Amino acid sequence: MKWLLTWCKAHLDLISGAAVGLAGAGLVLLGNPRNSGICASCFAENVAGALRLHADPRMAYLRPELPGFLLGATLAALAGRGFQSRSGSAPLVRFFLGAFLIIGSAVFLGCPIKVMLRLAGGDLTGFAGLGGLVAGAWVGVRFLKKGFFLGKSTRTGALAGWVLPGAMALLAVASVLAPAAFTGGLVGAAREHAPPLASLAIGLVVGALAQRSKFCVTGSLRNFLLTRRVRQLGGLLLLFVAALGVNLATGLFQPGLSDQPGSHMDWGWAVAGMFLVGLGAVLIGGCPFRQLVLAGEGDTDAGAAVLGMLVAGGLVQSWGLRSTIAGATPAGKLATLIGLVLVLGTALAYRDRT
Amino acid sequence: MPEVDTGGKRSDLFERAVAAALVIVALAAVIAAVRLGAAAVTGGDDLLAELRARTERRVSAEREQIRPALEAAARGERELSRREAEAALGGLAGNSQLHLLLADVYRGSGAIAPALREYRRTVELLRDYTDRRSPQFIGAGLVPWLREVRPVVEGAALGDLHYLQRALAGGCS
Repeated sequence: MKWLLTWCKAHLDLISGAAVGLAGAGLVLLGNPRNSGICASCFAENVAGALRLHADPRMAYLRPELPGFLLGATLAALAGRGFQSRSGSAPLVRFFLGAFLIIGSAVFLGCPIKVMLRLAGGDLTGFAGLGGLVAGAWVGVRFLKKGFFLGKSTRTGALAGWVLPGAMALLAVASVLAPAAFTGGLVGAAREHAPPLASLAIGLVVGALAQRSKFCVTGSLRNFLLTRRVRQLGGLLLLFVAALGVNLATGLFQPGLSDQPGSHMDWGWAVAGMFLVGLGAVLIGGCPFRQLVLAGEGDTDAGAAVLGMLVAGGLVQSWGLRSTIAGATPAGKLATLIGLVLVLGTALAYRDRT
Repeated sequence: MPEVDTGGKRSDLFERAVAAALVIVALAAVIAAVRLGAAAVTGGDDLLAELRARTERRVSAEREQIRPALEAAARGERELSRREAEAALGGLAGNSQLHLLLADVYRGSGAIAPALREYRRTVELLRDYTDRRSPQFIGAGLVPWLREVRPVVEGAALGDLHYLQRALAGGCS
């Protein structure tokens, strides 16, 4: 038994990857939209809609998984004595980069985790997103090697680190107890959801595991590109394998290009959107999911990114900065280009020039 | 023989490449902004289609303009129904039920491409038609038909068919 515990501790990233894959595919079986069991960007848009930051009822549902991820990380950090309020590393820059992570994801139609889940569901258009994500992460790593640094964060008053977990605790309670008028989910994709308590429980477990293991899709790619050690991709691979296994066993694996749920055929913009996400995520230390986990540990800079994500979750719907199944909208294309300019500009501005 | 360190040169090249990419993307953004502005002013098709899809207008089927087409369809007079529906569309281009009726009429008469076009217009106007839990869901009969006609569809109609397949597959979008 002891050896098992030791093995688990040593391979927590693999366990986390598998857990995210199982949870992603399992939540679809419980009611979440196909290939969207876990998607931090979709969830941000859903929660923004539930908070009336946009007016599209099809994307308005207070998804319990999102506060679950953050609170799971908080609980795990407290248990491991890793909770620490910290701030001071360019929070406003992180706010905007967090917003562009969501815009890029909305143009592709999914966050980095959903890229893997889409592929595991047989959605071959996911390869465009994966290509963009890897390319963006590669450029981001080049900047890291050149000394890109947003500044050191320092310990701060304990209250600051509790602001976001506190707010998310309220959302978690509301997502389970509040009436449908608030939680929405009455039409379209928002109507497709797992039972709220199950969603919250799965969110808590996944968030806790991700906090202990530091698991992150973009982080795995970044570590691989930095170290060239294939082992760094283990969690990512297991995420895919676990989700694929569940999909194959339950008949949800349906390979194809043109008939996939929540996808489009605008390859170029799918690549560009995920390039923006890959680059931005490497610069701020993780993809949207990782920002939630970091914010749960008391990192208020990541908290700023999370707030940027929620604001962008409203804007992508109300301003149309996204793609539909017909392809990227004109406003989505423009927002992606602006995002690329600003993120690349940030990378240049914060590189080590000595 | 002293070693030549090319790290600095490579580094400069990378920075220049990024700066050049930055300029190109910025120019593309300006062009896109101008085009988007022009589209908004002139009512560009893409933007209007997007706005229409988001607005999801509902128009009652009891409108006088539609009734003759519906009644003809109910009587099985396919050709009359199609003529009536096409005539009514002149004044009611945003009526999803009319587009759906027309799509069904085209489908019944074997006109695959126009049927696909009208089904797509229907779904663009009201996504409830693709919502499995909605009473208006049209997928049960449409999905098998889409599979059946897929081998003979080409060109713009293929784009419509793919759009419908994605819409009916559900997902988060």
